[in-house]
Amino acid sequence: MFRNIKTYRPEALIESEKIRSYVESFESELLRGISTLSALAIIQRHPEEGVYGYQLLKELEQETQKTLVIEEGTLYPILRKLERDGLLVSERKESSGRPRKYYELTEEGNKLYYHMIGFFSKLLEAIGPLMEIDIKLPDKKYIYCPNCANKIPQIAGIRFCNICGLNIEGLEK
Amino acid sequence: MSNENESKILIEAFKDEVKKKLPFWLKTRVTELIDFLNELEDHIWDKATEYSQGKDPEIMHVREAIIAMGSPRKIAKEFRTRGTPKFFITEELWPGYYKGLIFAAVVILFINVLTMSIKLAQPGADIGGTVGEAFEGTFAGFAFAFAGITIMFVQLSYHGFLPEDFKRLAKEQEKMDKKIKKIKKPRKTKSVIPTSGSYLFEGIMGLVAGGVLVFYPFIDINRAYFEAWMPALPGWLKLVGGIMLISGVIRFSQALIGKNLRLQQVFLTLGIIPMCLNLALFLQLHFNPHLIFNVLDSRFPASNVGRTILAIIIVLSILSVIGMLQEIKKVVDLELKGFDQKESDFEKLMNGQ
Repeated sequence: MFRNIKTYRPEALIESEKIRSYVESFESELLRGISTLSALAIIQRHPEEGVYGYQLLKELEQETQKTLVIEEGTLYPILRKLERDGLLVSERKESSGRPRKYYELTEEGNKLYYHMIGFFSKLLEAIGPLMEIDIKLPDKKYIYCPNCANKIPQIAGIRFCNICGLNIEGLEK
Repeated sequence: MSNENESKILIEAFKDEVKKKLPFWLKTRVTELIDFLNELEDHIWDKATEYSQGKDPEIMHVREAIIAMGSPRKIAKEFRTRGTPKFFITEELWPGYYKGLIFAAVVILFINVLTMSIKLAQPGADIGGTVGEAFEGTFAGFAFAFAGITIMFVQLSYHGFLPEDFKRLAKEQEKMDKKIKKIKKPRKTKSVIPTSGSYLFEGIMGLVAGGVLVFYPFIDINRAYFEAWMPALPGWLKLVGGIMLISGVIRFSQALIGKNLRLQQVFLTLGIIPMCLNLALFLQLHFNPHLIFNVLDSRFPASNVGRTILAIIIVLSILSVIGMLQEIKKVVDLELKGFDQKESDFEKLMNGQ
Protein backbone atom coordinates (compact mmCIF):
# COMPACT_ATOMS: atom_id res chain seq x y z
CA MET A 1 0.00 0.00 0.00
CA PHE A 2 1.36 3.38 -1.00
CA ARG A 3 1.30 5.79 1.88
CA ASN A 4 3.61 8.54 0.75
CA ILE A 5 3.82 8.62 -3.01
CA LYS A 6 5.31 12.13 -3.15
CA THR A 7 8.65 10.96 -1.78
CA TYR A 8 9.23 8.36 -4.49
CA ARG A 9 11.63 8.99 -7.33
CA PRO A 10 10.11 9.69 -10.76
CA GLU A 11 11.66 6.52 -12.19
CA ALA A 12 9.93 4.35 -9.55
CA LEU A 13 7.66 1.67 -10.96
CA ILE A 14 4.53 3.12 -9.37
CA GLU A 15 4.87 6.22 -11.53
CA SER A 16 3.10 4.07 -14.13
CA GLU A 17 -0.67 4.42 -13.76
CA LYS A 18 -1.10 0.84 -14.98
CA ILE A 19 1.25 -0.60 -12.35
CA ARG A 20 -0.23 1.53 -9.58
CA SER A 21 -3.75 0.48 -10.37
CA TYR A 22 -2.65 -3.18 -10.66
CA VAL A 23 -0.98 -3.09 -7.24
CA GLU A 24 -3.91 -1.29 -5.65
CA SER A 25 -6.41 -3.71 -7.09
CA PHE A 26 -4.28 -6.70 -5.97
CA GLU A 27 -4.00 -5.33 -2.45
CA SER A 28 -7.67 -4.53 -2.26
CA GLU A 29 -8.58 -8.10 -3.35
CA LEU A 30 -6.18 -9.58 -0.82
CA LEU A 31 -7.39 -7.31 1.95
CA ARG A 32 -11.09 -7.93 1.43
CA GLY A 33 -11.18 -11.27 3.27
CA ILE A 34 -8.42 -10.34 5.71
CA SER A 35 -10.29 -7.18 6.74
CA THR A 36 -13.39 -9.21 7.56
CA LEU A 37 -11.34 -11.69 9.55
CA SER A 38 -9.47 -8.96 11.42
CA ALA A 39 -12.70 -7.12 12.22
CA LEU A 40 -14.11 -10.37 13.62
CA ALA A 41 -10.91 -10.89 15.65
CA ILE A 42 -11.33 -7.49 17.29
CA ILE A 43 -15.03 -8.04 17.96
CA GLN A 44 -14.22 -11.46 19.43
CA ARG A 45 -12.07 -9.74 22.05
CA HIS A 46 -15.12 -7.92 23.42
CA PRO A 47 -17.55 -10.70 24.20
CA GLU A 48 -19.40 -8.86 26.98
CA GLU A 49 -19.76 -5.22 26.02
CA GLY A 50 -19.26 -5.44 22.23
CA VAL A 51 -17.37 -2.93 20.14
CA TYR A 52 -18.43 0.00 17.95
CA GLY A 53 -17.08 0.82 14.51
CA TYR A 54 -14.74 3.65 15.40
CA GLN A 55 -13.29 1.76 18.37
CA LEU A 56 -12.79 -1.29 16.16
CA LEU A 57 -10.81 0.71 13.61
CA LYS A 58 -8.66 2.31 16.30
CA GLU A 59 -7.80 -1.07 17.83
CA LEU A 60 -7.07 -2.51 14.41
CA GLU A 61 -4.80 0.42 13.62
CA GLN A 62 -2.89 0.00 16.88
CA GLU A 63 -2.60 -3.79 16.69
CA THR A 64 -1.34 -3.82 13.11
CA GLN A 65 0.84 -0.71 13.45
CA LYS A 66 -1.25 0.93 10.73
CA THR A 67 -0.36 -1.81 8.22
CA LEU A 68 -3.89 -3.09 7.81
CA VAL A 69 -5.90 -0.02 6.92
CA ILE A 70 -9.59 -0.35 6.20
CA GLU A 71 -11.02 2.72 4.54
CA GLU A 72 -13.23 4.01 7.32
CA GLY A 73 -16.54 4.24 5.48
CA THR A 74 -16.18 0.79 3.98
CA LEU A 75 -16.05 -0.90 7.41
CA TYR A 76 -19.76 -0.40 7.96
CA PRO A 77 -20.98 -2.26 4.86
CA ILE A 78 -18.72 -5.16 5.96
CA LEU A 79 -20.26 -5.14 9.46
CA ARG A 80 -23.76 -4.95 7.96
CA LYS A 81 -23.07 -7.98 5.80
CA LEU A 82 -21.74 -9.97 8.76
CA GLU A 83 -24.84 -8.99 10.72
CA ARG A 84 -27.15 -10.00 7.87
CA ASP A 85 -25.32 -13.32 7.60
CA GLY A 86 -25.98 -13.96 11.30
CA LEU A 87 -22.35 -13.76 12.50
CA LEU A 88 -22.92 -10.54 14.43
CA VAL A 89 -25.65 -8.90 16.45
CA SER A 90 -25.79 -5.21 17.19
CA GLU A 91 -27.30 -2.97 19.79
CA ARG A 92 -27.46 0.81 20.12
CA LYS A 93 -26.08 1.95 23.47
CA GLU A 94 -25.13 5.28 24.98
CA SER A 95 -21.40 5.76 25.52
CA SER A 96 -19.60 8.99 26.54
CA GLY A 97 -22.81 10.92 25.93
CA ARG A 98 -23.26 9.65 22.39
CA PRO A 99 -25.39 6.75 21.09
CA ARG A 100 -23.25 4.11 19.40
CA LYS A 101 -23.90 0.84 17.70
CA TYR A 102 -22.10 -2.01 19.46
CA TYR A 103 -21.38 -5.25 17.65
CA GLU A 104 -21.00 -8.68 19.25
CA LEU A 105 -20.36 -12.13 17.83
CA THR A 106 -23.29 -14.53 17.86
CA GLU A 107 -22.74 -18.10 19.01
CA GLU A 108 -22.68 -19.22 15.39
CA GLY A 109 -20.42 -16.31 14.48
CA ASN A 110 -17.99 -17.32 17.21
CA LYS A 111 -17.78 -20.88 15.88
CA LEU A 112 -17.37 -19.68 12.30
CA TYR A 113 -14.70 -17.23 13.40
CA TYR A 114 -12.61 -20.10 14.77
CA HIS A 115 -13.06 -22.00 11.56
CA MET A 116 -12.06 -18.98 9.44
CA ILE A 117 -9.07 -18.17 11.61
CA GLY A 118 -8.03 -21.85 11.59
CA PHE A 119 -8.27 -22.03 7.83
CA PHE A 120 -6.30 -18.80 7.43
CA SER A 121 -3.61 -19.96 9.90
CA LYS A 122 -3.12 -23.29 8.17
CA LEU A 123 -3.02 -21.53 4.83
CA LEU A 124 -0.31 -19.16 6.05
CA GLU A 125 1.62 -22.07 7.53
CA ALA A 126 1.41 -23.94 4.23
CA ILE A 127 2.43 -21.08 1.97
CA GLY A 128 4.98 -19.65 4.45
CA PRO A 129 7.98 -21.64 3.12
CA LEU A 130 7.12 -20.58 -0.44
CA MET A 131 7.60 -16.98 0.55
CA GLU A 132 10.35 -17.49 3.09
CA ILE A 133 8.08 -16.60 5.98
CA ASP A 134 8.34 -18.52 9.20
CA ILE A 135 4.90 -19.25 10.62
CA LYS A 136 4.67 -20.91 14.00
CA LEU A 137 1.17 -21.94 15.00
CA PRO A 138 0.29 -22.30 18.72
CA ASP A 139 -0.01 -26.08 18.44
CA LYS A 140 0.08 -26.67 22.17
CA LYS A 141 -2.97 -24.54 22.86
CA TYR A 142 -5.01 -25.48 19.81
CA ILE A 143 -5.51 -28.31 17.41
CA TYR A 144 -6.53 -27.72 13.81
CA CYS A 145 -9.22 -29.98 12.41
CA PRO A 146 -7.53 -32.09 9.68
CA ASN A 147 -10.75 -32.00 7.66
CA CYS A 148 -11.83 -28.34 7.73
CA ALA A 149 -8.94 -26.56 9.52
CA ASN A 150 -11.21 -25.42 12.36
CA LYS A 151 -9.16 -24.03 15.25
CA ILE A 152 -10.13 -26.01 18.36
CA PRO A 153 -8.84 -25.30 21.89
CA GLN A 154 -7.15 -28.28 23.51
CA ILE A 155 -9.65 -28.73 26.32
CA ALA A 156 -10.63 -32.07 27.76
CA GLY A 157 -14.04 -33.27 26.69
CA ILE A 158 -14.07 -31.92 23.10
CA ARG A 159 -14.61 -34.94 20.90
CA PHE A 160 -15.93 -33.53 17.65
CA CYS A 161 -15.14 -30.59 15.41
CA ASN A 162 -18.16 -28.30 15.76
CA ILE A 163 -17.92 -27.20 12.14
CA CYS A 164 -17.56 -30.42 10.14
CA GLY A 165 -18.39 -32.97 12.86
CA LEU A 166 -15.14 -34.94 12.50
CA ASN A 167 -14.16 -37.06 15.49
CA ILE A 168 -10.98 -35.43 16.77
CA GLU A 169 -10.27 -37.72 19.72
CA GLY A 170 -6.63 -38.72 19.88
CA LEU A 171 -5.40 -35.74 17.87
CA GLU A 172 -4.24 -33.81 20.95
CA LYS A 173 -0.52 -33.20 21.38
CA MET B 1 -24.22 30.27 11.08
CA SER B 2 -22.76 28.49 14.12
CA ASN B 3 -19.90 26.07 13.76
CA GLU B 4 -22.02 23.12 14.91
CA ASN B 5 -24.78 23.93 12.44
CA GLU B 6 -22.30 24.18 9.58
CA SER B 7 -20.82 20.83 10.59
CA LYS B 8 -24.26 19.26 10.70
CA ILE B 9 -25.08 20.56 7.23
CA LEU B 10 -21.81 19.15 5.91
CA ILE B 11 -22.48 15.75 7.47
CA GLU B 12 -26.06 15.71 6.18
CA ALA B 13 -24.79 16.51 2.68
CA PHE B 14 -22.29 13.63 2.91
CA LYS B 15 -25.03 11.26 4.10
CA ASP B 16 -27.25 12.37 1.22
CA GLU B 17 -24.44 11.73 -1.24
CA VAL B 18 -23.86 8.22 0.16
CA LYS B 19 -27.60 7.55 0.09
CA LYS B 20 -27.83 8.50 -3.57
CA LYS B 21 -25.09 6.08 -4.52
CA LEU B 22 -26.41 3.13 -2.50
CA PRO B 23 -27.98 0.25 -4.40
CA PHE B 24 -31.71 0.26 -4.89
CA TRP B 25 -32.43 -2.71 -2.58
CA LEU B 26 -30.86 -0.96 0.42
CA LYS B 27 -32.73 2.29 -0.21
CA THR B 28 -35.98 0.39 0.05
CA ARG B 29 -35.08 -0.86 3.56
CA VAL B 30 -35.81 2.43 5.23
CA THR B 31 -34.99 1.45 8.85
CA GLU B 32 -31.71 -0.20 7.89
CA LEU B 33 -30.80 2.72 5.67
CA ILE B 34 -31.39 5.31 8.39
CA ASP B 35 -29.48 3.20 10.90
CA PHE B 36 -26.55 2.84 8.49
CA LEU B 37 -26.40 6.56 7.76
CA ASN B 38 -26.60 7.38 11.48
CA GLU B 39 -23.71 5.01 12.11
CA LEU B 40 -21.63 6.85 9.52
CA GLU B 41 -22.51 10.12 11.24
CA ASP B 42 -21.45 8.75 14.66
CA HIS B 43 -18.14 7.74 13.14
CA ILE B 44 -17.57 11.17 11.59
CA TRP B 45 -18.20 12.87 14.96
CA ASP B 46 -15.79 10.46 16.73
CA LYS B 47 -13.11 11.03 14.11
CA ALA B 48 -13.61 14.80 14.12
CA THR B 49 -13.32 14.80 17.93
CA GLU B 50 -10.06 12.88 17.59
CA TYR B 51 -8.75 15.47 15.11
CA SER B 52 -9.76 18.31 17.48
CA GLN B 53 -7.95 16.49 20.32
CA GLY B 54 -11.04 16.00 22.43
CA LYS B 55 -12.42 19.52 22.09
CA ASP B 56 -15.60 20.45 20.21
CA PRO B 57 -14.73 19.77 16.57
CA GLU B 58 -14.42 22.69 14.17
CA ILE B 59 -15.81 22.56 10.63
CA MET B 60 -12.32 21.75 9.27
CA HIS B 61 -12.10 18.70 11.56
CA VAL B 62 -15.47 17.48 10.31
CA ARG B 63 -14.32 18.02 6.73
CA GLU B 64 -11.15 16.00 7.36
CA ALA B 65 -13.17 13.26 9.06
CA ILE B 66 -15.44 13.05 6.03
CA ILE B 67 -12.44 12.77 3.71
CA ALA B 68 -11.09 9.92 5.88
CA MET B 69 -14.38 8.06 5.42
CA GLY B 70 -13.57 7.51 1.73
CA SER B 71 -15.70 8.46 -1.24
CA PRO B 72 -19.47 7.84 -1.11
CA ARG B 73 -19.11 5.83 -4.31
CA LYS B 74 -16.58 3.48 -2.68
CA ILE B 75 -18.74 3.02 0.42
CA ALA B 76 -21.77 2.22 -1.73
CA LYS B 77 -19.68 -0.14 -3.88
CA GLU B 78 -19.14 -2.40 -0.86
CA PHE B 79 -22.85 -3.17 -0.94
CA ARG B 80 -22.82 -3.98 -4.64
CA THR B 81 -20.63 -7.03 -4.13
CA ARG B 82 -23.64 -8.65 -2.47
CA GLY B 83 -24.46 -12.03 -4.02
CA THR B 84 -22.21 -14.91 -5.05
CA PRO B 85 -21.13 -14.91 -8.69
CA LYS B 86 -22.33 -17.74 -10.90
CA PHE B 87 -21.53 -16.89 -14.50
CA PHE B 88 -23.09 -13.43 -14.90
CA ILE B 89 -26.08 -14.16 -12.66
CA THR B 90 -25.55 -14.53 -8.93
CA GLU B 91 -26.09 -17.89 -7.29
CA GLU B 92 -28.89 -16.40 -5.21
CA LEU B 93 -30.85 -15.26 -8.25
CA TRP B 94 -30.09 -18.41 -10.26
CA PRO B 95 -33.16 -20.40 -9.07
CA GLY B 96 -35.42 -17.43 -9.92
CA TYR B 97 -33.80 -17.14 -13.35
CA TYR B 98 -34.21 -20.87 -13.93
CA LYS B 99 -37.86 -20.80 -12.82
CA GLY B 100 -38.49 -17.70 -14.94
CA LEU B 101 -37.16 -19.47 -18.04
CA ILE B 102 -39.22 -22.59 -17.35
CA PHE B 103 -42.36 -20.51 -16.71
CA ALA B 104 -41.85 -18.52 -19.93
CA ALA B 105 -41.20 -21.74 -21.88
CA VAL B 106 -44.40 -23.35 -20.55
CA VAL B 107 -46.49 -20.26 -21.36
CA ILE B 108 -45.02 -19.96 -24.87
CA LEU B 109 -45.51 -23.67 -25.54
CA PHE B 110 -49.07 -23.56 -24.20
CA ILE B 111 -50.03 -20.56 -26.37
CA ASN B 112 -48.49 -22.07 -29.51
CA VAL B 113 -50.00 -25.52 -28.95
CA LEU B 114 -53.40 -23.96 -28.25
CA THR B 115 -53.16 -21.81 -31.39
CA MET B 116 -52.05 -24.80 -33.45
CA SER B 117 -54.91 -26.98 -32.13
CA ILE B 118 -57.55 -24.36 -32.95
CA LYS B 119 -56.15 -23.88 -36.44
CA LEU B 120 -55.95 -27.62 -37.06
CA ALA B 121 -59.56 -28.01 -35.94
CA GLN B 122 -60.72 -25.75 -38.77
CA PRO B 123 -61.92 -27.48 -41.96
CA GLY B 124 -59.31 -27.73 -44.70
CA ALA B 125 -56.44 -26.76 -42.41
CA ASP B 126 -52.93 -27.02 -43.82
CA ILE B 127 -51.45 -29.46 -41.29
CA GLY B 128 -47.82 -29.16 -42.36
CA GLY B 129 -47.91 -25.37 -42.54
CA THR B 130 -49.71 -25.02 -39.22
CA VAL B 131 -47.32 -27.32 -37.37
CA GLY B 132 -44.38 -25.50 -38.97
CA GLU B 133 -45.77 -22.14 -37.87
CA ALA B 134 -46.22 -23.48 -34.33
CA PHE B 135 -42.59 -24.60 -34.24
CA GLU B 136 -41.47 -21.29 -35.63
CA GLY B 137 -43.57 -19.37 -33.07
CA THR B 138 -42.31 -21.53 -30.21
CA PHE B 139 -38.69 -21.09 -31.25
CA ALA B 140 -39.02 -17.32 -31.68
CA GLY B 141 -40.85 -17.06 -28.36
CA PHE B 142 -38.15 -19.08 -26.58
CA ALA B 143 -35.40 -16.95 -28.10
CA PHE B 144 -37.12 -13.72 -27.09
CA ALA B 145 -37.93 -14.91 -23.56
CA PHE B 146 -34.42 -16.27 -23.06
CA ALA B 147 -32.79 -13.01 -24.19
CA GLY B 148 -35.18 -10.79 -22.21
CA ILE B 149 -35.09 -12.76 -18.96
CA THR B 150 -31.30 -13.22 -19.14
CA ILE B 151 -30.67 -9.49 -19.65
CA MET B 152 -33.00 -8.68 -16.77
CA PHE B 153 -31.36 -11.12 -14.34
CA VAL B 154 -27.81 -10.14 -15.33
CA GLN B 155 -28.65 -6.53 -14.57
CA LEU B 156 -30.40 -7.39 -11.29
CA SER B 157 -27.36 -9.50 -10.27
CA TYR B 158 -25.03 -6.63 -11.09
CA HIS B 159 -27.07 -4.38 -8.81
CA GLY B 160 -26.92 -6.87 -5.92
CA PHE B 161 -30.57 -7.88 -5.81
CA LEU B 162 -31.41 -10.94 -3.74
CA PRO B 163 -34.64 -12.99 -4.01
CA GLU B 164 -35.99 -11.64 -0.72
CA ASP B 165 -35.78 -8.11 -2.10
CA PHE B 166 -38.61 -8.85 -4.54
CA LYS B 167 -40.88 -10.21 -1.80
CA ARG B 168 -40.02 -7.33 0.50
CA LEU B 169 -40.58 -4.75 -2.23
CA ALA B 170 -44.02 -6.18 -2.95
CA LYS B 171 -44.95 -6.10 0.76
CA GLU B 172 -43.62 -2.57 1.24
CA GLN B 173 -45.47 -1.34 -1.83
CA GLU B 174 -48.66 -2.79 -0.36
CA LYS B 175 -48.03 -1.05 2.97
CA MET B 176 -47.20 2.22 1.22
CA ASP B 177 -50.40 2.09 -0.80
CA LYS B 178 -52.40 1.65 2.40
CA LYS B 179 -50.54 4.51 4.09
CA ILE B 180 -51.02 6.83 1.13
CA LYS B 181 -54.75 6.24 1.31
CA LYS B 182 -54.76 7.17 5.00
CA ILE B 183 -52.43 10.13 5.21
CA LYS B 184 -51.73 12.94 2.83
CA LYS B 185 -47.97 13.10 2.48
CA PRO B 186 -46.12 16.36 3.21
CA ARG B 187 -44.52 17.97 0.17
CA LYS B 188 -40.96 16.86 -0.50
CA THR B 189 -38.24 18.34 -2.68
CA LYS B 190 -39.32 17.38 -6.17
CA SER B 191 -36.91 15.08 -7.96
CA VAL B 192 -36.07 15.86 -11.59
CA ILE B 193 -36.71 12.28 -12.71
CA PRO B 194 -39.03 9.60 -11.25
CA THR B 195 -37.80 6.97 -8.77
CA SER B 196 -36.00 3.79 -9.88
CA GLY B 197 -39.04 1.83 -8.67
CA SER B 198 -41.42 3.48 -11.11
CA TYR B 199 -38.89 3.15 -13.96
CA LEU B 200 -38.47 -0.54 -13.08
CA PHE B 201 -42.25 -0.99 -13.18
CA GLU B 202 -42.57 0.88 -16.49
CA GLY B 203 -39.66 -1.11 -17.93
CA ILE B 204 -41.05 -4.52 -17.01
CA MET B 205 -44.54 -3.55 -18.20
CA GLY B 206 -43.10 -2.31 -21.52
CA LEU B 207 -41.09 -5.50 -22.02
CA VAL B 208 -44.02 -7.78 -21.21
CA ALA B 209 -46.69 -5.87 -23.16
CA GLY B 210 -44.32 -5.25 -26.11
CA GLY B 211 -43.29 -8.92 -26.15
CA VAL B 212 -46.93 -10.05 -26.22
CA LEU B 213 -47.76 -7.73 -29.12
CA VAL B 214 -44.67 -8.61 -31.16
CA PHE B 215 -45.26 -12.33 -30.80
CA TYR B 216 -49.04 -12.00 -30.76
CA PRO B 217 -50.12 -15.52 -31.60
CA PHE B 218 -53.92 -15.12 -31.49
CA ILE B 219 -54.00 -13.42 -34.87
CA ASP B 220 -53.37 -16.82 -36.44
CA ILE B 221 -56.41 -18.35 -34.78
CA ASN B 222 -58.78 -16.74 -37.22
CA ARG B 223 -56.55 -15.65 -40.04
CA ALA B 224 -59.42 -15.64 -42.56
CA TYR B 225 -61.35 -13.09 -40.50
CA PHE B 226 -58.37 -10.77 -40.08
CA GLU B 227 -57.33 -11.15 -43.72
CA ALA B 228 -60.83 -10.16 -44.82
CA TRP B 229 -61.45 -7.27 -42.45
CA MET B 230 -58.18 -6.16 -40.91
CA PRO B 231 -55.35 -7.34 -43.17
CA ALA B 232 -52.82 -4.89 -41.79
CA LEU B 233 -53.62 -5.46 -38.10
CA PRO B 234 -50.85 -8.02 -37.33
CA GLY B 235 -48.29 -5.67 -38.85
CA TRP B 236 -49.57 -2.72 -36.84
CA LEU B 237 -49.56 -4.73 -33.64
CA LYS B 238 -45.98 -5.83 -34.20
CA LEU B 239 -45.01 -2.23 -34.86
CA VAL B 240 -46.66 -0.97 -31.66
CA GLY B 241 -45.18 -3.91 -29.72
CA GLY B 242 -41.72 -3.14 -31.08
CA ILE B 243 -41.99 0.47 -29.94
CA MET B 244 -43.17 -0.64 -26.48
CA LEU B 245 -40.25 -3.08 -26.29
CA ILE B 246 -37.70 -0.37 -27.09
CA SER B 247 -39.34 1.91 -24.55
CA GLY B 248 -39.37 -0.89 -21.94
CA VAL B 249 -35.66 -1.64 -22.44
CA ILE B 250 -34.84 2.06 -22.02
CA ARG B 251 -36.95 2.44 -18.84
CA PHE B 252 -35.53 -0.79 -17.37
CA SER B 253 -32.01 0.46 -18.02
CA GLN B 254 -32.86 3.82 -16.40
CA ALA B 255 -34.10 2.00 -13.28
CA LEU B 256 -30.82 0.14 -12.99
CA ILE B 257 -28.59 3.11 -13.76
CA GLY B 258 -29.98 4.96 -10.73
CA LYS B 259 -28.41 8.35 -10.15
CA ASN B 260 -25.70 8.31 -12.75
CA LEU B 261 -26.15 11.74 -14.29
CA ARG B 262 -24.58 11.26 -17.71
CA LEU B 263 -26.06 7.83 -18.35
CA GLN B 264 -29.52 9.05 -17.29
CA GLN B 265 -29.19 11.92 -19.74
CA VAL B 266 -28.18 9.51 -22.51
CA PHE B 267 -31.13 7.21 -21.79
CA LEU B 268 -33.56 10.12 -21.46
CA THR B 269 -32.44 11.20 -24.93
CA LEU B 270 -32.78 7.64 -26.22
CA GLY B 271 -36.27 7.61 -24.68
CA ILE B 272 -37.28 10.22 -27.26
CA ILE B 273 -36.77 7.66 -30.06
CA PRO B 274 -39.79 5.46 -29.22
CA MET B 275 -41.83 8.63 -28.70
CA CYS B 276 -40.86 9.81 -32.20
CA LEU B 277 -41.82 6.40 -33.55
CA ASN B 278 -45.18 6.65 -31.78
CA LEU B 279 -45.71 10.10 -33.24
CA ALA B 280 -44.81 8.84 -36.73
CA LEU B 281 -47.32 6.04 -36.26
CA PHE B 282 -50.09 8.40 -35.16
CA LEU B 283 -49.35 10.84 -38.00
CA GLN B 284 -49.39 8.00 -40.50
CA LEU B 285 -52.86 7.04 -39.28
CA HIS B 286 -53.96 10.67 -39.23
CA PHE B 287 -52.93 11.37 -42.84
CA ASN B 288 -54.21 8.02 -44.07
CA PRO B 289 -57.61 7.83 -42.37
CA HIS B 290 -58.79 5.20 -44.84
CA LEU B 291 -56.63 2.73 -42.87
CA ILE B 292 -59.12 3.13 -40.02
CA PHE B 293 -62.31 3.89 -41.92
CA ASN B 294 -61.96 0.98 -44.34
CA VAL B 295 -61.92 -1.43 -41.46
CA LEU B 296 -64.24 0.17 -38.95
CA ASP B 297 -66.88 1.71 -41.24
CA SER B 298 -67.43 -1.62 -42.89
CA ARG B 299 -67.75 -3.38 -39.55
CA PHE B 300 -69.74 -0.67 -37.79
CA PRO B 301 -71.47 1.22 -40.63
CA ALA B 302 -73.99 3.01 -38.44
CA SER B 303 -71.56 4.16 -35.79
CA ASN B 304 -69.05 6.98 -35.59
CA VAL B 305 -66.24 4.83 -34.19
CA GLY B 306 -63.75 5.69 -36.95
CA ARG B 307 -64.02 9.41 -36.35
CA THR B 308 -63.78 8.96 -32.57
CA ILE B 309 -60.57 6.99 -33.02
CA LEU B 310 -59.24 9.70 -35.33
CA ALA B 311 -59.89 12.28 -32.59
CA ILE B 312 -58.09 10.06 -30.07
CA ILE B 313 -55.15 9.81 -32.47
CA ILE B 314 -54.90 13.60 -32.65
CA VAL B 315 -54.88 13.80 -28.84
CA LEU B 316 -52.24 11.04 -28.65
CA SER B 317 -50.07 12.88 -31.21
CA ILE B 318 -50.21 16.04 -29.10
CA LEU B 319 -49.38 14.03 -25.95
CA SER B 320 -46.40 12.45 -27.74
CA VAL B 321 -45.01 15.88 -28.59
CA ILE B 322 -45.54 17.03 -24.98
CA GLY B 323 -43.83 13.83 -23.76
CA MET B 324 -40.82 14.49 -25.99
CA LEU B 325 -40.55 18.07 -24.77
CA GLN B 326 -40.72 16.84 -21.16
CA GLU B 327 -37.89 14.37 -21.76
CA ILE B 328 -35.75 17.17 -23.27
CA LYS B 329 -36.61 19.35 -20.25
CA LYS B 330 -35.49 16.57 -17.89
CA VAL B 331 -32.13 16.32 -19.70
CA VAL B 332 -31.63 20.08 -19.35
CA ASP B 333 -32.82 20.09 -15.70
CA LEU B 334 -30.41 17.30 -14.85
CA GLU B 335 -27.57 19.32 -16.33
CA LEU B 336 -28.56 22.46 -14.46
CA LYS B 337 -29.77 21.12 -11.08
CA GLY B 338 -28.54 17.54 -10.84
CA PHE B 339 -31.02 15.01 -9.46
CA ASP B 340 -32.13 17.52 -6.88
CA GLN B 341 -30.74 20.66 -5.28
CA LYS B 342 -28.84 18.92 -2.45
CA GLU B 343 -26.27 17.18 -4.65
CA SER B 344 -24.58 20.38 -5.70
CA ASP B 345 -24.78 21.62 -2.09
CA PHE B 346 -22.56 18.73 -0.96
CA GLU B 347 -19.90 19.57 -3.52
CA LYS B 348 -20.04 23.24 -2.56
CA LEU B 349 -19.73 22.42 1.13
CA MET B 350 -16.82 20.04 0.64
CA ASN B 351 -15.07 22.68 -1.40
CA GLY B 352 -15.58 25.07 1.49
CA GLN B 353 -17.62 27.57 -0.50
